[in-house]
Amino acid sequence: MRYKPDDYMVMVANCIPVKGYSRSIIYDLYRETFDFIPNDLFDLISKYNKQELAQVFGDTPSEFHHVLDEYIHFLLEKEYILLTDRPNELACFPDLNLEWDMPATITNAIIDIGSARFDIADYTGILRDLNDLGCTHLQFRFFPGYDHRMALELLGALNDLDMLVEVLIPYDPSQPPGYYVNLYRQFQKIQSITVFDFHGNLDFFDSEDYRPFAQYVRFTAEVISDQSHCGIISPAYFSVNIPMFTESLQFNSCLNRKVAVDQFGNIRNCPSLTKSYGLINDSDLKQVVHSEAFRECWTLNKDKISICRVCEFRYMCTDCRAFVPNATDKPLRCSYNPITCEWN
Amino acid sequence: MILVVSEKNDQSTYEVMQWLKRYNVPHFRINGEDVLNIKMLDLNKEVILDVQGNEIPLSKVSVLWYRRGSFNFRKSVAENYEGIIDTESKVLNNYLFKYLDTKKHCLNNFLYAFVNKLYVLELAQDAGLNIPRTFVTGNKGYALDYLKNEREVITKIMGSQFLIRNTGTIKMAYTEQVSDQDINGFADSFFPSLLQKRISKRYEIRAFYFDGRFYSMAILSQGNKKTETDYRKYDHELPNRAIPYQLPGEVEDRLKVVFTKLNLNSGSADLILDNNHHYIFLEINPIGQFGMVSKPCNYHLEKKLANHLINHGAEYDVTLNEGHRCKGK
Repeated sequence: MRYKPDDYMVMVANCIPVKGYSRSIIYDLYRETFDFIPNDLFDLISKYNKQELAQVFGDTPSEFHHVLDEYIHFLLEKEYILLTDRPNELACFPDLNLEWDMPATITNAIIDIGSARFDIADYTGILRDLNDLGCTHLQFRFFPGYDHRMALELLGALNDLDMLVEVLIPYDPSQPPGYYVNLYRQFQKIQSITVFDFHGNLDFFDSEDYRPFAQYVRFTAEVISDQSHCGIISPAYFSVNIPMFTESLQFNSCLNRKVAVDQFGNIRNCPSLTKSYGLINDSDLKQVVHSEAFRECWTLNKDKISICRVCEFRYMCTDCRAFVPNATDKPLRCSYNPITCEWN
Repeated sequence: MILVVSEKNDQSTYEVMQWLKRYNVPHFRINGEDVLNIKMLDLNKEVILDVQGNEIPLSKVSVLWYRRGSFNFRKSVAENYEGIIDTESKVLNNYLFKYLDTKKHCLNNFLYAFVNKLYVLELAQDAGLNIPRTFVTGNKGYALDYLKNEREVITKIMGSQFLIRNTGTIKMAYTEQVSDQDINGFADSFFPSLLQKRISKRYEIRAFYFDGRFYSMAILSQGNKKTETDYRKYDHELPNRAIPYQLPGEVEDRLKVVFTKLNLNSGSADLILDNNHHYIFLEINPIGQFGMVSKPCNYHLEKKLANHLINHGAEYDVTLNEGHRCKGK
């Protein structure tokens, strides 16, 4: 890949460099991947986007020209920049629109169901409200002590609604594991099932009948007895794409447009947050989610959170506001240090 | 009420309708797959459609968004009578869409959704746009001569995209380069085919036109062998970069002339920027997939489209009862 001094370098608009304390990342929002880059390359891109390469070289002491050459080759090879020798073409490459919006008032919801007993109508009412609010992604987490018959009824109630559901459910030793595959098959709105507290073997997935479902029905030995199994920050949960990036610029990537019902029937922004906005049997979910108070944490973006604000992962990270010492502290369950760039 | 005419699995329709639902605007969707009937069509008075039990009086429609498909009045009939049913259906479709076209605000219309590629190229040239040298022949001698003169030639279908489903495989009509071996393998006389001079491209541009504005995207496919001739031959390992693009004002003005002449107030135009930095117009697709432009460029076209429908519907709005609400998917 060759370049000429009279070429202008243009950063591809949907690849966006983000500066961290010790290093930076180019977010490839189109191919949904990323690359680490040194901070001086970040500075160079910011300063010289849409400038002539001759100027970049002119401003750089000659002993660093070989580094510059390396940088430009890297950017070209990854197609992070394109070159043009016609200055009038530069106006053809606008910046990416950074607006974020979704038609849904609530985009995702978690409903935890444990041993506390509520009327099924309280839950089906919540499901209808969520549907009216445009919610398309639901998570049902059934904890030990839940009523299985009611669970089946609730999954059935989703048939008439416009949302998909992820199910987390404890293994019932009186059932063969294939039972959960059949659940997946039986309910059209189930997107995936995670069966926990399972200690048997999974040989049945070898059979022709069950194999295609192995990616949707997962079994784990882990025991999940309540909502505390959450808030872990790990690269496995990072996502690099335009909706995530643009939402994170303005909003809290976990709490924005989320609602939860904890296992005791409390309406919360997240099941692990302490503030309750009422119980499902005596509050109007739609009213709750439209209230200012409920949305208090939605605009708590990463730029407002200490440490995270200098982290290069900040616009791909899931965040967590429940397990934190103080409201604007870095998540407790994040082991990454953006100063040393190490995961502990 | 906003009337949406589309097909069942169209993702963009679904997304626009999610916005209509959010804004709580009365709307109704008819899919090409829905079997309809006419409850009454009383000329100069009222038309009432019966859409699978829902009664839709067209007098209550303020805005039509024609996305794709048509009104499907098909009833199972004896084999020999299918031709008659088709013809009768066409008459009804043409009347109903004409009725909507003259009386309502329409964002596109079935009447104008099928454009002739050859005619559109002529229109574009008349509007001052560059087009590739285009030639149709079914004669081997002419084809060989054309190839000799133009050296690098491509062929593509003249009609709309089609899929041929065979057991387990789907064949699609792509744009392909034509060699003299190809032509030598033909009979002396073959079905008339479209040939175009191949253009060396710097990048391809897909410009979605809507509400007098262009939302364009450049597809940087030249570096990729798989997609050199046709970017739809998608490379899943390393998808071609697609980035927001701003066409020069004079190119947009000329494209606008073509859209207007075709009675289209929305649609996609395909262009190439050749290696000499000339914009070459290729074609217009009235029902183009705008999602593939909206998403990589973050244009939020689905929301803009919904707002457009709502703004044009507000003047006439009539509330419809709950039962007429669409389920979404």
